Amino acid sequence: MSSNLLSVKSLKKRFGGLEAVNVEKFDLNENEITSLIGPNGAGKTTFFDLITRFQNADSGNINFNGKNVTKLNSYKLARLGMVRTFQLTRVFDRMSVYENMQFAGSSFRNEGFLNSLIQSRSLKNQEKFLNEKINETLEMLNLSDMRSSYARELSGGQKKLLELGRSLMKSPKILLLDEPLAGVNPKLSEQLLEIIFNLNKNGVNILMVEHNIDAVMKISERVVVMAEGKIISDGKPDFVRSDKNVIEAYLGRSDE
Amino acid sequence: MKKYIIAFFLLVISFSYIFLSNENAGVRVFVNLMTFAGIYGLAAIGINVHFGWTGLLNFGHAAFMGIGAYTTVLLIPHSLGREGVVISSGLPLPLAIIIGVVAAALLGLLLGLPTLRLKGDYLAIVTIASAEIFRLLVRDFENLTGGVYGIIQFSDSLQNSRPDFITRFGESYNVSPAQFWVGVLSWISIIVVLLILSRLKKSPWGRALRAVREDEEAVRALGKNAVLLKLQSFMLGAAIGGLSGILLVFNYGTVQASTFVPVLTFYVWAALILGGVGSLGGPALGAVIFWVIIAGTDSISRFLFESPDGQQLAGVRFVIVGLLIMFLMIFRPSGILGKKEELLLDVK
Repeated sequence: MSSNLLSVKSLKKRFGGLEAVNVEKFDLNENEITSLIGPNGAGKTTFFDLITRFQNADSGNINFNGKNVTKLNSYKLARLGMVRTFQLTRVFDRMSVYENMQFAGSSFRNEGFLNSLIQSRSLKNQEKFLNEKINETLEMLNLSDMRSSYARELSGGQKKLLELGRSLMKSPKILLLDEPLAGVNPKLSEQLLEIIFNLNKNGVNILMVEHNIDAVMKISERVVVMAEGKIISDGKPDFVRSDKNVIEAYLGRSDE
Repeated sequence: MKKYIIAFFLLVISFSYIFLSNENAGVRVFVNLMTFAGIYGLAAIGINVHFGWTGLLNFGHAAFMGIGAYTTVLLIPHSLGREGVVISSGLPLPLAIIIGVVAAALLGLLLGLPTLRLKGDYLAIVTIASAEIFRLLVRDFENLTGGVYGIIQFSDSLQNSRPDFITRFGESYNVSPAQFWVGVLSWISIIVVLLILSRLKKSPWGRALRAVREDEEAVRALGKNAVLLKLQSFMLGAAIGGLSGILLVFNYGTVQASTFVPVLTFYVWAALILGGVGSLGGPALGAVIFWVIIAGTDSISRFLFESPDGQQLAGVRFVIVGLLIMFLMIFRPSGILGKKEELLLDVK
């Protein structure tokens, strides 16, 4: 058994004639920020979907935290501590920012039909306890002023923040961020990177897909490059930056 | 606040119109329309749990209403079909009603299990088809359901419980006491159901349903079982539909397969849209407005035609209901009591 938090073996997914993902081996070590980069259509998001069980792989094996999760339901995997965000932000538009956070934080047991009908004291206490955590998280994300606004009234960047905040309510072991900086202005990007960096210092593993190379190189301890469904390079940022294959497939010659 | 004032004036105008246009029979027409409004309102509240709270498109509500009605009626004393087979023994009515409501919820489970994994539109197709299958089965299993001749003489179980003051009121205003009693019961049911629902709407469960309505994928990404939530919502709405179906057949005093034609479902939808999708009391208000239109079109038809026949009456009704929904969609797409910010029928 490996001591890796996440370990993926010979994971394959085809869409018709297209081999979308074909990853021989991918391990994630404890407490790193890992970035997944590569050209459009390289299979990064599909790879995300496969390891979070949002799509079924054709073949392969996924281990998370010492447990085989290859066939596990996506929501059960999320409960085990693998939480993802989406490339196109998915906030609950017609719910308030606060409700978005509440839903993310409350346990599924509290959301049971009978528990909600009876509304015992312990349920109310848990909702109160949730309140503190929500306030802390919203404070950290600078969203406190927006707490009672509908989520659809937020700007694109704020939605990204809210989605991140929602994921944090789950106290994830590993956080998979799909383009967290896309469409976010430079100042907010800085802020987001700092938040991600601090999260990692507090023990949350980060795996992110991102196109902003400068940010990726600055924050990551490890960079993985995908092209045409395969991992073509994997290592420290400096190593990847000078890898010939990567320059060919993704970074382009002007980068040299 | 403004919308409640609008709702209040709408009701005042509607009721004044009903009483003024039916000089001698005002109370009778009023009781008739309020009884139907109570029953349809209850049915619309069920669809509102499905669509307004959870985003499930249910176009087969008639089946839930029907299974509730048939289950209850068959469990109490009744007589059957063309030959008038009399079955004089049965369960006590309250127990039969509970079993009827549970049967509706179970039909919800049965339909939901295979279909709720699918996305919205598929559910709409499956529900509308199931409702028709249900109606045709009921029509063809003549030994059990009386087929097209239906079931009669089951009302006594309910009417025996009618308090005296209802009977006296009925007699003095020339109103059917039986119908008045069903009407009172249907509005009591609405109040009880709304009290329970208002508690649920604010609860973590209600919040989780709204999250499912907004984005199922995100719900799963946050570790919640969206299919289970949808199934629970589907069963609850179906149970409320079942209760309204039971009241509906006690109002008619008979039940045939043709009671549960698809147009019943769409009338209930019309009430829901008029009142405001997603709001708590909206469906009941919408049902009242809907039935005022149905009752009110008689006098408009009399104004248009010298002596309108049934077909002309029905035509005018549909035109007016259609026009009203059109205007509503243009000027107030969230319905009378709906929240603009939580608009569900996005018609931009």
